Amino acid sequence: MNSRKNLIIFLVVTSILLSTIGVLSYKTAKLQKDIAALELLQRELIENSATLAVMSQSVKNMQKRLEDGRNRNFVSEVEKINGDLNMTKAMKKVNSIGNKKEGVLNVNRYELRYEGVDINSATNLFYRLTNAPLLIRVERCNLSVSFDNPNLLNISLSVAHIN
Amino acid sequence: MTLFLNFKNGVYTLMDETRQTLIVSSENLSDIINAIPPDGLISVSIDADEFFIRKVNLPAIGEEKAKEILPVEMEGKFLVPAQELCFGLVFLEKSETLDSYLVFAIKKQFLLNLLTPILNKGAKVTVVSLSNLDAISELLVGVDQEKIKGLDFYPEELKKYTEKKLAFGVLKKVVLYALAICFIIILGLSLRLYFMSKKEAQLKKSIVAGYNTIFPESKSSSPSASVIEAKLKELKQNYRSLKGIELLDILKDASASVGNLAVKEINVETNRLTIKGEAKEYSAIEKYKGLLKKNFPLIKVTETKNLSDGRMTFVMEATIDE
Repeated sequence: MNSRKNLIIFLVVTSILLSTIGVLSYKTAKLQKDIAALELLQRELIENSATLAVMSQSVKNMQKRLEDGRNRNFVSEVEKINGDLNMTKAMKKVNSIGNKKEGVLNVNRYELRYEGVDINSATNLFYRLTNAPLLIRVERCNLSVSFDNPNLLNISLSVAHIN
Repeated sequence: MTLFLNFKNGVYTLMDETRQTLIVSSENLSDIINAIPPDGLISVSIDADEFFIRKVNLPAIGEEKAKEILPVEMEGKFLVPAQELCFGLVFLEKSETLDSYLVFAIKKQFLLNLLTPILNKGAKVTVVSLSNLDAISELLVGVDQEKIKGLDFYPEELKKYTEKKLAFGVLKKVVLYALAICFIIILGLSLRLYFMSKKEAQLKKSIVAGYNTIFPESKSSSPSASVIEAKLKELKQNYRSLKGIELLDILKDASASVGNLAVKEINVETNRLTIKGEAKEYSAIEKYKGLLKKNFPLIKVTETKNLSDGRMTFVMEATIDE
């Protein structure tokens, strides 16, 4: 009777101890996994802190331009830029090539072609497009030396007006 | 340290290893048991008067075999059945067909009653022998008394009991060690968990600080790691979908000036940059590639073609990092 009682006590104590070890092992393994993920995240935040901060600021600016440019017309804006940069004659084509939805965003795509542009005007054009009051995403670009004058460039752009 | 327990005329006497000092003497066995140390070695001797003694003739089959047949041969020669006795025998003399022995017998139950409490206490009984041979000296004329002193009446039943008890003791030790190991493991795991929790808390603090640097507008909140992770993922996704090609940077890099080399075409599509041009010699292409490598580490010359006038055209391709 006594030995049976002892056996039951032993089994109960052993079960409790083994269960405790099991629970602790599980918790430790889970925590280890969590810590590994946290370390990875921490490393990313430390190593890319500057890049991420710039990216965050950049996204904020772009989102502001996106809001501001919702009711603006892309073609008028491009014509305004051309006028400001004295490139109206250089512009040979501005075509809408359709629109699509990217999540909550409306993306209107255009093709632009400029011919006989000097490198300085090309730089100004890219600057103005990148910093226009409406959000323009350059998707494709081809710069080639003009056949008529090797000092001038022909520019083909595929851009998206995001609103 | 062996203690000596003697039983004589209903009195138990426990002496130390020198047999000079009396530890306890009592008619009550429990007094003796209380005085026995749990891990002590006990040599038990019982007064010769307590034994039945018979002289018997057994077939000349040797002492060992004689011992085996003794319970059968001795049946009916004592007041109690032979199976209830423990025997010891001493060879006396040999005739042609029979061997003569002096047989000592004692009630098994008496031994069990005496020895079991000792064993239960945890002590070990080394031998159960006869003492006070002077009391039966008239029966021992011509008998080697040393042989009689060497007899051991430890019952077979108790040998098994002792083995079982020993095995149980070993098992008990194993269980105790196993439990101790379990406790050590639990302690170790608990400590590990504690230190890991502290480390996790520190990491979370550092992550939130880093997050607040990147997103200063959320300084008042302390989001969880998963929220931060999701926010970073969303940031990268937004950046990717809104940003497009960094034309100015590419134009600045690609327009690097190298003598004897002219860039004719630059094509950028998603994250792929292609540059076509002409050079007077291959070293100029290599120099140009070297300049671009700073910002486009994976840039490579994919094609070169010699023209008839000695110049060569080239095509370079690179992946644009996000």
